[in-house]
Amino acid sequence: MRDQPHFLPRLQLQSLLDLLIAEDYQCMGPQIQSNAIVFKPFSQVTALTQGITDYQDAGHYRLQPYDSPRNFHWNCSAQLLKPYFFQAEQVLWQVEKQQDGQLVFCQTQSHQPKRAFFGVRACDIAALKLQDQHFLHSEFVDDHYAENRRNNLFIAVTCSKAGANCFCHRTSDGPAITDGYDLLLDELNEGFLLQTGSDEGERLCQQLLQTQVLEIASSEQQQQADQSLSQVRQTLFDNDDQRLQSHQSDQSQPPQFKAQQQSQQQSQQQHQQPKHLPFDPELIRQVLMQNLDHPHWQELAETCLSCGNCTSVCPTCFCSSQRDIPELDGSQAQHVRQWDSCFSQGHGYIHGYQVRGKTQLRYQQWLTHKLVNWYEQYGRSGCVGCGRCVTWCPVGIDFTQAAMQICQDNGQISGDRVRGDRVRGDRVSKDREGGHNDN
Amino acid sequence: MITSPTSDVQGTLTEQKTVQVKADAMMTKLQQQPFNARIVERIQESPDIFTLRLTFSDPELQQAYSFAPGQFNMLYLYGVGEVPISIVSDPEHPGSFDHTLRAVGRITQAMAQLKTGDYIGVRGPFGRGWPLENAQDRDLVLITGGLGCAPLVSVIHYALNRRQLYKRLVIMQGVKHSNDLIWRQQYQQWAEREDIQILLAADETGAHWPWAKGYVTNLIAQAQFDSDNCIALLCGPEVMMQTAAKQLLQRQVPEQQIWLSMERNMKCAVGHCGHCQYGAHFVCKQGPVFNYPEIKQLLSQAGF
Repeated sequence: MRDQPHFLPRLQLQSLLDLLIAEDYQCMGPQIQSNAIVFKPFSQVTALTQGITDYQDAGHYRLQPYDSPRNFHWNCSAQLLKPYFFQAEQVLWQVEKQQDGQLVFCQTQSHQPKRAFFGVRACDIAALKLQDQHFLHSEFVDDHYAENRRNNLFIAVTCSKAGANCFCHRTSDGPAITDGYDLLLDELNEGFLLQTGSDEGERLCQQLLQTQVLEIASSEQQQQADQSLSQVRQTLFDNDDQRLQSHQSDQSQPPQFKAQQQSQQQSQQQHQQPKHLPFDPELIRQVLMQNLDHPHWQELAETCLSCGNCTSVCPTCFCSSQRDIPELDGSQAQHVRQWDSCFSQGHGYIHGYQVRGKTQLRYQQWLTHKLVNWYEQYGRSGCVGCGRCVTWCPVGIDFTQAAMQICQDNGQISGDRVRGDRVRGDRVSKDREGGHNDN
Repeated sequence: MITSPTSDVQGTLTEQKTVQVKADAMMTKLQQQPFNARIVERIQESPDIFTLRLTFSDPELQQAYSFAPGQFNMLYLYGVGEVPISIVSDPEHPGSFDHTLRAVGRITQAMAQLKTGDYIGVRGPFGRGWPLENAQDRDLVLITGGLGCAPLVSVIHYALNRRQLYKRLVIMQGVKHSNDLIWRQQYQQWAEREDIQILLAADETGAHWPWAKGYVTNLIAQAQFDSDNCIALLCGPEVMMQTAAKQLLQRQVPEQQIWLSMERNMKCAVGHCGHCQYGAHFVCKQGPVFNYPEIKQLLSQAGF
C-alpha cells in the first residue's frame, strides 16, 4: 500500500505547474523534439508529451500514437538528465595573460535557478545517485556539479510500460521508485496518484491540499496503480525470456549449421535448465575479467563502430576531456571540460602510445568498467538498466547479450545463481519466481 | 593590556592554527585551479629532456605548498593545456620545486620553448607518492627505465639527505641509448660511495660507456640487497616493471615490498575525468604509486 494516498486529477496538473512557477521553479518537462523525447522548459501542461508512446529496440527508437490522455506512457527519454548536472561542456576556469607574462587564474562560478524536472524515471534517479557518488562523494568535490545539483525538484513518474530494452529489474533500480524524488506520480487515465518523498515535496503537497487541488485517492485508484506496476514487472521478466530465446537462436553460425546443431543445443539447454538470466550483475562481475580472451570480444569488436553513442547516452558515464580555448588576441583563455568517451582515440593515449588502440580493447574497457570495476569504485554496478546504450547503438549491439554470451559460454549461468542474485529487496514476488521455474 | 602567560601560549596556538587552516585552504584551492608560477631556472639535461625550477609568484602560496616524493603537479602552458608531471626535487627544499620533462607530446614540446623568467600555471600536488615511511631501516632498491628515473630521482635525493634512515641504496637505471642518460655526473658521484650501488644499462651504447649493455632488468641478479628487509621502488615502461617485479619475487622479495609508479592519460587529476582508470583504480588519486599486489592482475593485461 502507498503512504499518503493523494490524487491529482489530470485537469489539475496545471495547478501543480502554476504553483511551482509561482515558487520560482523553472519547470523542465518531457516534450517532443525531432521525433524524440527531450526535457525542455515549459509553463503549460499542453506542451508535455501526450497521447504518444515509444518503441525502443536494439538500434531502434520510434514514437508512436497512443490512444490515451496520458502524458507519461513511455520509457526512458531520449535525452538524459545528466547534462543538467554534469554539463556536456563546462568552463572550469579562465586565465588572463598579463603584459609581463604573468597568469591570473579565476575559477568560473555556475549559478543555476531552481529547477523542477517532470517525468523522471526510476533509472534516471538511480543514475543520478551514481553521478553524485562520483562527483560529490568521492575524494574531491566537483564545484560545478555541486552547484548544478542544488535546488532541484524531481517529480518522478512510475513507468506504466516496459520497453524491450528496459532491464532496471536486473539492476535493482526499478521499476518501482523507492526514493530520490520529491513528488512521485503514478499515472492513471483520469489523473495521478501523488506521494511525497522529501520535505520540499511535502511542503508543496500541503499547499496543493490547502487550495483543494488534491483529492483523496480511492482504493480502486491505488489498486490500479499497483496492478500497473505488477504488469510492468511481469513484462520485464517476460522480455527476459524473449531475449534469452533470441540470444540462443542468434548464435553466430550459418543457418544450416544451426539446424544441425539444434537437437544438440536442446539437450544442452535441458542440461543447464533453468536459465532465464540475460543479465545478472553480480555474476557477470565475477566472470568477465576472467574471460578477457574470450573470442566473443573479437566478434563484438568487428560489429562495434567505436562511435561512442553508448557512452553519450549512458546516464552514468562520467568521462570528460579538457582543452584550452585561447582568445585570438592572446590575452585570455578558457579551460573547458567536455564529455569524452572511452571509445575515443585520445582516451587511452599516453605520449606516443595507445593503451586501447583496438576497438576490442575499448569495448572491453566500457563493459568491464560498467559491470565489474564500478563495484570496486562505488560498491555497485555502473549500469541502471535504462537500455539507452542498446537503443542508440547504430549497429544494435545489446550490452546485456554481449555480457551474457561471455558468461554463458563459461557455463557460469545456472538457475540457482539466477534466483539468488536476481534483485535486492522484495521487488520480485514469490509467485513470479515459481512461475519462472515452470517455464 | 595585561595578558597572562597562558593566554599568550593560547594566542600563539590559535595563530598557528589559523595559519594552518589558511594553508590548507590554499592547498585545496591549488588543486582546483592553477596558480601562477615563475621559472627561476631552466636546465637542459639532454637534447630533449629539461628541468624547470619553479616558484609560485605568491610567496604565501609557495610557503604553504608541500608535497611528498612521487606526487605530481599539473603544469599548465597558456593557451595549450595541462600535463601531469612528477615533482623531482626534495619536498623540504625551500622556495622552489623542480619538474623534469621530456619533450614528447603536444604540451611538453611547447613547454620545451620556455625560458627562465617565463610563467606557467601549476595545479597540485596530486596522487599517492612513494611509501618512504615504510622504507625506513630497509635497503632501498630503485629500478627505473627511460625517463622513469625522474620520479625516483626525488627519492634518491630524499634518501641521501636522510641517509641514516635507510640501509643500503641500490640504484638501477636503464636507458634506450647511452646518450639518454641524464645526471651522469651525479651517478658518477653516487657510484663512488660505498653505501650506494649503481647499476646502469643501455640498449644501444655510444663510445666511452662504462656501464652494461642490455636491459636494466638483466642487472637485478648483481644487485646486493637484503631480500628480507628491503623495499623496491619501480618506475618506467610497464614491461620493464613487470619483468623487474618477477625477478625480485624470484629473489624472495615479498610482493608487498614492491611498489610501481604507473602512468595513464590524465586530464583532471582529481579522479573525475576517467581517463586514468586502470581497472578500478584511478591512477591520479589512488596512484601513481601502487603496491604490486594491488595491480599484479592487470599488469600484463592489454587495454587496461
